[in-house]
Amino acid sequence: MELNLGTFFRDSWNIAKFDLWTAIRTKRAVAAIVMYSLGALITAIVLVKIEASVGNELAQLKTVDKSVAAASGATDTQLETTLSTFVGGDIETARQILGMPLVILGFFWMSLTFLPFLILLVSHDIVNVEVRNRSARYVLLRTSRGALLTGKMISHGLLFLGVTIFSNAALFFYAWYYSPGFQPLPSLLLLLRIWILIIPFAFCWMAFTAMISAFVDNGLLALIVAGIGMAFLGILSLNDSFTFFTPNHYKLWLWKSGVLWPALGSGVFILFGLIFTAVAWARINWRDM
Amino acid sequence: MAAVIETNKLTKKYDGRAVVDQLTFTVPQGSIFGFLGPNGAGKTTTFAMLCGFIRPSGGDAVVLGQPLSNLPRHLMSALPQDAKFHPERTLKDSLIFMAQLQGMDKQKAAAEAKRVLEAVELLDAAKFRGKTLSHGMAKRFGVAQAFLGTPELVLLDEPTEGLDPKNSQTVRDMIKAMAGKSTVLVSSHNLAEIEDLCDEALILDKGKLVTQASISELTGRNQQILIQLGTAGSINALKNLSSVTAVEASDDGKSLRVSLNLAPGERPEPAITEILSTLISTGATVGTVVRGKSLQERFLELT
Repeated sequence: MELNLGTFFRDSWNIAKFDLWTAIRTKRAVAAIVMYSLGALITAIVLVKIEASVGNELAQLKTVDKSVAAASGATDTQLETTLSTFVGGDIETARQILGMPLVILGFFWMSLTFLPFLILLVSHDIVNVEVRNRSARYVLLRTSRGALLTGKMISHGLLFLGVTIFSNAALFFYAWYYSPGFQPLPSLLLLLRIWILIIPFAFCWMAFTAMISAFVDNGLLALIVAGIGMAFLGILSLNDSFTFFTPNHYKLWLWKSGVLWPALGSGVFILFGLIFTAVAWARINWRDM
Repeated sequence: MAAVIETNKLTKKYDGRAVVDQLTFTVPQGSIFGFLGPNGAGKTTTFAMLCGFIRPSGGDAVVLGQPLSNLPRHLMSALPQDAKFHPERTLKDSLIFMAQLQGMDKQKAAAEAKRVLEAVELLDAAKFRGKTLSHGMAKRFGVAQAFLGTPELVLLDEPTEGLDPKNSQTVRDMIKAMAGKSTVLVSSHNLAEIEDLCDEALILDKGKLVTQASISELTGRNQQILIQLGTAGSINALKNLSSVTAVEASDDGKSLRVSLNLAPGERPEPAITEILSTLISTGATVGTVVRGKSLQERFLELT
């Protein structure tokens, strides 16, 4: 099959624009945006309050007795050691996590935990809804099946990108305003790093959802199958023999300090995303539309 | 004349049952080509294969010189049956989007959207959302999108189904206006419409090709005439004419079916004039003369 890349990307982009403007008018997309933003904001409010409260108490204690300060240092080391067991025994990573403003730490954790489910809720019918009502036929008269899939994925990707930017900004300004020790520039850079790490992570799960949507025509069934699939991968990641074959295993790498491991983790998420996309693409190319 | 579509044993099976069964036909360039068949004959499935929506189970086809795996989408358009429009988008937005996918820039796409909406008399509804359209409006919108740009091949699956007579005529006029510029495939249950619009047609039944011929061949326009008489005359006089091969008369002698004996390419008018003059000379009065059988009669004979 001949593939004109210029036409392919032009068509994908046109589909993405059209689909994005259509999607943001749907109640489901608005609900998703509100849910995620609200979740981020509530996390921010709670964590800013915890941080402020703990910070004040610690400061008071430190001024009362130097031995307490020493004890708090000891506590920090213990905490680092304990935390490092969750990040593969990497003290540096544990130290980095502890050094993060609590609100940003919370946001990162929240994104890595809940973003796949949000993607599942919003994108489970990314392909099948167009096949079911045959509206895809108007598009397929004019462009390739690959461009349709790519366009739809760009559209949903942009939607999630917009949601994360919006909630990031809300969180950042809230924390800046209400968190006494909040340092805007280092926090902004940290947030940017997290945001960059979330993109491949989100791509992987969106591709997974798109793959299920390409196989299962019924919207609700696709939601259930994709949910079960995600849970299955989660369970599989707990098994020492199979953990490397699941994206979940590499989530830990995103938490690590430095550049290498997070970059490798992102690369693995992109690889998984590409595999899922390729399967979805193959399915869409060979199925009846 | 070059063929725009050539199929070779095109087959589609569902659960082992052939819905389209080894279909081989050609569609000549520039023709308005009819696709006829009873419900379930495989017309829509064949259209869907030619548009690349569904994959054949066997055989192949060449559309505008390209195989189905590499359809020249920029040169063809279609009205697919039962396809829905984006419910949340306006007609104008949807058309601009489709025109842009055909390679037009936004300005040209907007102008094209306006032109086709005007042609199907939907310009006033340009800002209606897909979900608010009546059946008739949706059908006209479907026809409008099929006429975006200047496609070389247009496939229309039941383009006037569910339309009122006025809108049906509008759509037929649009199709007629394409004659000579594009090749148009029309499937319809309205046989009078196919007879009126098409140069050539094929008839499908149970997924198989029954026949493919020009409309005049299908209806026998140059082979037979049906004469309704006011007053019966002598049919024996007709049997002696060299231009007549057979005469069948109704019991009352007022309805005659006359088979003509014409050389290939010979015009039937002189023979018809001779037949009518002969009848009148025997005292008959002529009510109506119909050339050939109606497509409906032929369709019922063949399916």
